[in-house]
Amino acid sequence: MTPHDPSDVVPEDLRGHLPSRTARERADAAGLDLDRLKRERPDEYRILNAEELVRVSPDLADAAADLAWQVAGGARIFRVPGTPAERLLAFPPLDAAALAAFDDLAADLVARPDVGDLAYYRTVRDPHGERRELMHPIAPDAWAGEVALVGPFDGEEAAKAWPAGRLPADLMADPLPYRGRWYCDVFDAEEAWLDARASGEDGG
Amino acid sequence: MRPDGEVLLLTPGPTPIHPRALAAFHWPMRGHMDPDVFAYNDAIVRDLKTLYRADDDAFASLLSGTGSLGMETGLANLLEPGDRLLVAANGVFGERMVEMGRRLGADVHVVRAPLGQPLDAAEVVAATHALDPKVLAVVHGETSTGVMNPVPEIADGIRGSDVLFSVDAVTTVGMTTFEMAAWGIDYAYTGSQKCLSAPPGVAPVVYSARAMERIEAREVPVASWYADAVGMRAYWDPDGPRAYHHTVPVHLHWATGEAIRAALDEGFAVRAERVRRLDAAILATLAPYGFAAAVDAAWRLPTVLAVTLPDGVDDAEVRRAMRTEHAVAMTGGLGPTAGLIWRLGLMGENARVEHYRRFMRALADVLALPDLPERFDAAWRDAAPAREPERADAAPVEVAPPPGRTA
Repeated sequence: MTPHDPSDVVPEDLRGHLPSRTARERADAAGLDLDRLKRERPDEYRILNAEELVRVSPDLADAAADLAWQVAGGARIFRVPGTPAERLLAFPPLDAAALAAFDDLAADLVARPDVGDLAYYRTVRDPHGERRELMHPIAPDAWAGEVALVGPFDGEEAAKAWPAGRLPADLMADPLPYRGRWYCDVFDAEEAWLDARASGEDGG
Repeated sequence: MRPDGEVLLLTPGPTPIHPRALAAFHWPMRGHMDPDVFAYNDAIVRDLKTLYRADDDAFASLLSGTGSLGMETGLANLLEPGDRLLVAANGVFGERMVEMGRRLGADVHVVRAPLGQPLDAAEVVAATHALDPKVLAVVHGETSTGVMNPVPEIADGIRGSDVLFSVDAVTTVGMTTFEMAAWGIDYAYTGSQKCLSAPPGVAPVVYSARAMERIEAREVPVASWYADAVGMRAYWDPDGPRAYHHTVPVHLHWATGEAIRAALDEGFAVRAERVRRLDAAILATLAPYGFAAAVDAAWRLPTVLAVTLPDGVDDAEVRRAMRTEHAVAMTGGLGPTAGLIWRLGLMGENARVEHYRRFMRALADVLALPDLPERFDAAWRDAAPAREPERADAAPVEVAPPPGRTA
């Protein structure tokens, strides 16, 4: 009988867990053995099987994680650093009911005057899929050419006028009212084109 | 007669004008000695040093002329009659420097590489050490052939010498890596209409402090009064006397200043990615029909995609049809490559996917290749970078649950 190897113990939350298809694809691409990873490096296994929950401004990450734990107490939350947005991954991924509850709590959070003046929460659906954002808008003076929600502006006309002469050809912008104020939603023109294609329009 | 309608410029310069540059043409007129103009020029000087990644003590300005004036001005200032000039040439623009050097009365020597091939850095460095010229002049990106020359390697080989290093950055700065200070470059220039996508007419140039010291120490005045760097500095230097030199084209300053600012705002990494993705998508689209990159990927100039034409494609006729029937302007080869290649611009505003979608639709019609637009769309998607790639230094970190909550 060989001595017991501590690394050969599968953590309780991973016993019987079946890796997702995405995790299998990621593991194949990286040459990783998922069964071994589960025993020896369980956090990496969890990250491979995690799914993006929400994109956050870095100082809102803890608040977003707290919301996740309110609706899915056993979830492990991982931050993927990035600028201007971090991504929060959840393992196990939240199910539909938990996501709906998360949406409600996040909406309540930004409805608070002390938060809502500084942050927004929304779900974006585009040809690349669906993503949630709990972020600060970017002030017009601080905008540096990125895809972002820019504002607030003094009114709809100001939000409409702001993009003129500022946007490179690969970006588009729409005025967007949010909580009684006007913003400019700057997005990738490629996404708009893919959208148009998907709906059968001529995007050219 | 006013030209009628818009024409899409997919040539390697001029390029479509950036909207911010175009908007600047509607700014109100000011005199060339107006405080508003000096204030704006000061911003241009700062931005040019950032664009070229030059030292703070460098002298930056706009010349009132095209990139060729930038080329001639550098040689006119850095060389005195009889001085030795070494030109490393592998295309039309290298040869233009040879001609200019001769007209300035310099003792001109040339190291050549075949057309379509890059300069041999070791050969250029060896010739520099052997000839000990006052100036070594190199074209960074040879627009005529689409070849990128090994400027950083040449810079490494001549570092520490007294040789003044002049680099033609016409098709590189603003779109590809350019490190004036780190590479020890003494003079660099471009044209407003290339990677910056302003209208043609001004040449953004930068001299190192060492170059200016050598110019100030000349025994013979610069033959061209208009191009004299010391006279120009008296007008441009924010700490200088603001002395009248010539009547600068104020609106071209504003348009070019806005174009430079737009490039800096966008960021070099984003601009380089636009070029990379389009290069990959265009080549993948055209390859099944017999087109191919004319230049090896190892030394391909990213901003000018030279493609060889398959048998049966009549260069002149196709370009004529593209221009007259579809309002798309393209450029063919120069000299030995005339009729054999196209040179597609990927500089500044011509490196935009919507422009190349239009190009593919037009080419599909002219060549009766209806699949081209669909193939291009697919190739463009295939060439996308991994969405939000996770960097090695951006590994996920678990968020610690607060006390009393266990994950």
